[in-house]
Amino acid sequence: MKTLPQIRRTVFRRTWAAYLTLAFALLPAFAPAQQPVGKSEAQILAEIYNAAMKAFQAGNWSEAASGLEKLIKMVPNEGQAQIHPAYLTLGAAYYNLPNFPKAIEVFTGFITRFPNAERLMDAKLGLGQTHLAAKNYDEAIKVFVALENVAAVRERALGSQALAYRLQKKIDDAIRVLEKLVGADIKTTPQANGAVMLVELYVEKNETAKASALLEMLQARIAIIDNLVTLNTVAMKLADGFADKKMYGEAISCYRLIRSRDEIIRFQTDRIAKIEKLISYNANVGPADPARYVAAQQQNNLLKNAVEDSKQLLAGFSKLPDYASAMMFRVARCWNEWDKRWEALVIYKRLLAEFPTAEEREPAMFDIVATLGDLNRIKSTQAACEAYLKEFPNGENAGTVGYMSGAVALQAGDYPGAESFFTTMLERQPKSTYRGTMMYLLGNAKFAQGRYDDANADYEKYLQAFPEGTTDGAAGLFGIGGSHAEECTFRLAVSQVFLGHYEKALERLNAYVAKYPKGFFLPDAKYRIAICYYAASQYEDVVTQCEAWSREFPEDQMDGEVQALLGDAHAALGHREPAVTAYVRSYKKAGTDEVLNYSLFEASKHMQKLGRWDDVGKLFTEFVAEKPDHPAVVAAMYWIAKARAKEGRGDEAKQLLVENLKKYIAEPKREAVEQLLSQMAQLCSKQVRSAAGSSAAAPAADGPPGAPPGERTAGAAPAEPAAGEAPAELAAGGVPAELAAGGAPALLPPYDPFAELAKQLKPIDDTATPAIKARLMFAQAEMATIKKQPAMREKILREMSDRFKPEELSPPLLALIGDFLLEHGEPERAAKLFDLMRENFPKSDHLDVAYVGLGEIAFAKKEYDKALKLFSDGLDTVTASMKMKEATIGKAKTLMELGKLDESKKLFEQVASIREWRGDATALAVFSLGEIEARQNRFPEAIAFYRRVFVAYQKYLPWVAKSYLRAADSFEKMGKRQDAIENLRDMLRNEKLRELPETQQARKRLEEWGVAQG
Amino acid sequence: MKTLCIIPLLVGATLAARADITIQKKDGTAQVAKALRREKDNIIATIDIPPAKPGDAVQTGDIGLPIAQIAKIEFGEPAALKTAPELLIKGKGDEAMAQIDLALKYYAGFRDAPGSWWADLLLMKMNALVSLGREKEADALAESMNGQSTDPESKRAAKVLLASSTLRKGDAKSAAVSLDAVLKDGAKPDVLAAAAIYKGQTLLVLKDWENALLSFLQVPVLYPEQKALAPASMLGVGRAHFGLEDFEAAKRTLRELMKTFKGTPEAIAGKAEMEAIAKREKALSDPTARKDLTAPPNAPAPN
Repeated sequence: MKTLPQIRRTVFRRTWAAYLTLAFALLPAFAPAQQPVGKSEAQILAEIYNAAMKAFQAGNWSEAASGLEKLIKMVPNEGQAQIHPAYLTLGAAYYNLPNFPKAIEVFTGFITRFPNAERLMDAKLGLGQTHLAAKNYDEAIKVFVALENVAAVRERALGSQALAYRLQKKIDDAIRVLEKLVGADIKTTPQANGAVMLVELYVEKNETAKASALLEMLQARIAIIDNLVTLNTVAMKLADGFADKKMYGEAISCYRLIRSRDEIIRFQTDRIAKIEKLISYNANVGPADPARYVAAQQQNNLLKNAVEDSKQLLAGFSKLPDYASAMMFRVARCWNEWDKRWEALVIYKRLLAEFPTAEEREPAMFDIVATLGDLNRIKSTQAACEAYLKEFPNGENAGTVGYMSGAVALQAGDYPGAESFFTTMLERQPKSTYRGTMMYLLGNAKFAQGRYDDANADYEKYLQAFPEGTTDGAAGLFGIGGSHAEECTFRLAVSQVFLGHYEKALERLNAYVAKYPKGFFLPDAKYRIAICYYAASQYEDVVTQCEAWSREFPEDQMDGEVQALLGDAHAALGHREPAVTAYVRSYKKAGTDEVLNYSLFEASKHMQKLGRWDDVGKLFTEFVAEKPDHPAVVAAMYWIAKARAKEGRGDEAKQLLVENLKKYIAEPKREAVEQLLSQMAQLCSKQVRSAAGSSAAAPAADGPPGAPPGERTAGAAPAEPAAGEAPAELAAGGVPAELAAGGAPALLPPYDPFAELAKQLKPIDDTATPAIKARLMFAQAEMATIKKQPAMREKILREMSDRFKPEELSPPLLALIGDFLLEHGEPERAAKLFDLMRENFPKSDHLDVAYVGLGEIAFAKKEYDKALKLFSDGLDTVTASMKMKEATIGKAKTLMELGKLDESKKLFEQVASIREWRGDATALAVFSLGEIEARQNRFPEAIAFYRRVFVAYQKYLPWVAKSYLRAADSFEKMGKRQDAIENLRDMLRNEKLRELPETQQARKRLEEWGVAQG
Repeated sequence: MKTLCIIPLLVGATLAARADITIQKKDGTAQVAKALRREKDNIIATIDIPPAKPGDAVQTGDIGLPIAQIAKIEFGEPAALKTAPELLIKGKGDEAMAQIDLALKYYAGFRDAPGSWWADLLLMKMNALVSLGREKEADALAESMNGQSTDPESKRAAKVLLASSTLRKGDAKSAAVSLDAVLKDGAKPDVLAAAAIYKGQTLLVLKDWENALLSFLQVPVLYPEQKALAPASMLGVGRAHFGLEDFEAAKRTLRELMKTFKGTPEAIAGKAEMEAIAKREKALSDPTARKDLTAPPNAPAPN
């Protein structure tokens, strides 16, 4: 491709060729008028002139100049004016030689001698151009400045003037002149060309905003731009400049202005075609119209040069490689570095789609991996890793991608996935830079799955390969670091604790402590050592070690755990007081809610065992004061109230409950509010006279501290008195309250627990919003349950379901009413409540109720895939566990319907084996196991399960009835009708089954078979 | 510098003189028309008739060109395609609609002519109707376009219209299939941008948040000149971020939507979306919402 000076000079010559042509054209017109010259002289002059012109046309500048000089000398003074065009050609010839001084002399002479000549401006322009070429910039500028005000040549004068300044590196002046040329709008080609130069200068001057704006303006006018290639180059330069300066928005805007290679080629091709069309049009103009003929000839000469230029430009440009993918990659990088990662992904993906073989493909795919990783899109990152490794198994970034594929899985908690990735990568990339780190993380992935022996094998391998722990390449990568020997050693030791191999653990932990006396895991190691002693029941040692630990690591974050262990050791030794002290300190120092809850309620439990109910109250009061926003606060209130009741301060307990209900009842997410309301119902359920006989308050018994409530799930408010507690109607010592007053029982008005409850809750009810009213009605429903009035309970729940909008219900009430509606055949209404729970209370303790409810609704509609997802989410994704049994059964029965019988069987076996679920669920599970066998045509096995139901679970009549029927079916399918008949007759003999629909079915079947029923 | 300017000046001046409608014929020839009208299967072009001899006045006359012989009519881009988006993003939907309708009226006669802007205008009208919540009219429009387009890009525009209608009728999967075909083969930015928006919406319905986000982002990243679709894109981006539970990004996007395109239907929808996000955030962040009072084992989790 031509450089700028080359283009400049070549075209300059062609411009003068145009004047030459013009001179030829004019010659016949003026030659006959040469009256002072004799005919033979005229012929001679014409011959000299024509020879000079021919030489000029052939580019023989010297011959042309000498001919024209000769001609001019031969023409007398009075004829000079008539041959003045020859002067211009002579000047051009000298310019082209180049002989600039002579050219300047000729043009200057012309200007002086022919001040009124028609072509004066051409001479002045010629002079200016020659000064420019001769590097007489100041002179050139003077000439062009003088021409600025001549409309016909203004744009050319300004353009040349700007060039002169630019060549002098007077950028500011060049910009000033070009701004004058470009003006407010670009309408002509000289303006457009000037604007291209101006953009370049703006870029040079770092005036990027101006450059960008002008570039944008130019893009709208490409039809009049001479050289689109230059414009593209400038745009690219400008965009890169913006990107370097981290001005990504501007850079992207500029990149967008760059035309594609195809577009440029198309543009240039069209341009050539259009010019050629014009040339053809001009060629048709004949000499009959001399004025049009001359103009057409002149224009065609210019156009032919333009075509030649454009063709050269096109040929040069066509040889360049396509830059579209490279540019797209740069744009993507801009978005990425601009922190607009999703936008970057749009471009990367477009690049991959449009350029399947571009060299940017590999880095683009790697960037996708990294970008998705940055966005924490774990699954997508893994997919991108797989895509990268499939396409570029040996790519430049294959090592990093291989490592990342496992690392993101690990980060996402997908431990089996991480294991699989790291195993594969270690096989595929045995020389990976990240081999050591991958070995270590592979161990961690197995460790996290509880496969400690497998994990230990990896840690051992790692330590063998990297005894000093320093691995290559992974230092600092994704925050993992590069040295893992210490951690591997620690994990090897601590895994023995988890495996229950305490002696081995002790040995390894001590080895770790010896090897890393200032190790990162030292506090943890020493804590685990104490645990080993605890496991060996060496509680005194545990106490000693925990106390030593506290002295050695007073500020360590594990203090909460260590104090809990100390409390456990004291408790095991029967040292309740120090145990309480340790637990209290533990909950205060706890780093996690898990430890806090454990220690708080262990402290409470031991206080209760010590009969220190006042301290229980204080413990929870202090806890509430210290952590007023803690989720366990409302549960703590329950215990405070219970402590008051235990102390015989029933009125105070109720008052406390009311105060706290007032505080929290308006917050739907305070789910323990329902517990407080249940407790209030409990307190109000029985009339208890205080020792003074003055109140209807319930003085809770402070009977022997048998199995304290703290031994249950800590903090969960039991609705019934725990074992060993005296029922509420008994006063101290288990004496009926009426008698405990010391006198004969007075005649008392009938006690109305509902009225008492309403009275206690009245201060709240007076100003209650619908949401609060719903909760207060719940308290009445609880009272109905306590008082064994199911009809009343149902009536209250029905009213709640009709009266309140779903939005007015707290999560426990949404769960309660949702279940109520579902049980009463209103799945659509129930679904609305469950959906609302999922939407508004995703962290509710009752959330699994919603999943199970929705699962049942989907199951009933035979939408088994949906049901399976809901039941599975209810079990696995949602951490709530109100309906674990129902969710498990739901999943099992859905799997059965989906034909996944093995999975279903496992779950039903699980249901049948869980002691706490024993009852109806067990009968259902055993029946279902029979169904699974029957579906596989294993009828004897099925019958065995059915028999188990009607033998071992007789209490659960519907399952018994179903089992009889299905057993009969199985016999029938085995061809044992007689056994089937006997089975059904057995069923009909069972009086308890008489009212069940299955009994009718059994009768009908016997009738069909034509046999008697008994 | 003179040398750099002189040739293009002449060429440019000559080329600039052409401003009429060029009809490219399938035989490779072209016809420049002053005006066009439709008569049955012909396009009637009013053309300049060159003077018989120099100095005579130029006259005009009509010639008929069968549509089947036309490769492309180089209509100038209708102004409404530029001005209506500006009005739409300023919340002036009715004014925008009036402009689009006016332009549509002109192009109605050329709807099946190659190079016609009819499909583009119709697509813009439908986008505007959807944006204004006039979905029944949009559906009717989609139906009306079916089978009326002949050139591939107009057919694709029609496909986008129909897919959006399918989406509104609740069949997101079918809509996605149609839109994928457009996105694969399409070339016109307005058609591609609209397809990207509706594809994003189908993905929202299918809860494929990540790909929905990437689809909506195609408008600002690849087709930023499609301003009329910017509010819909921004709303979609906000919703997709919400779906991805990136609440900060969702709020940031929706705030920008409400600020930049105040008064548009999308900005109003954005406000509702912000409320939903606030609700969701509250639902997820409430410290009282989760309590786990189960006593832990003495050994904390290994990891």
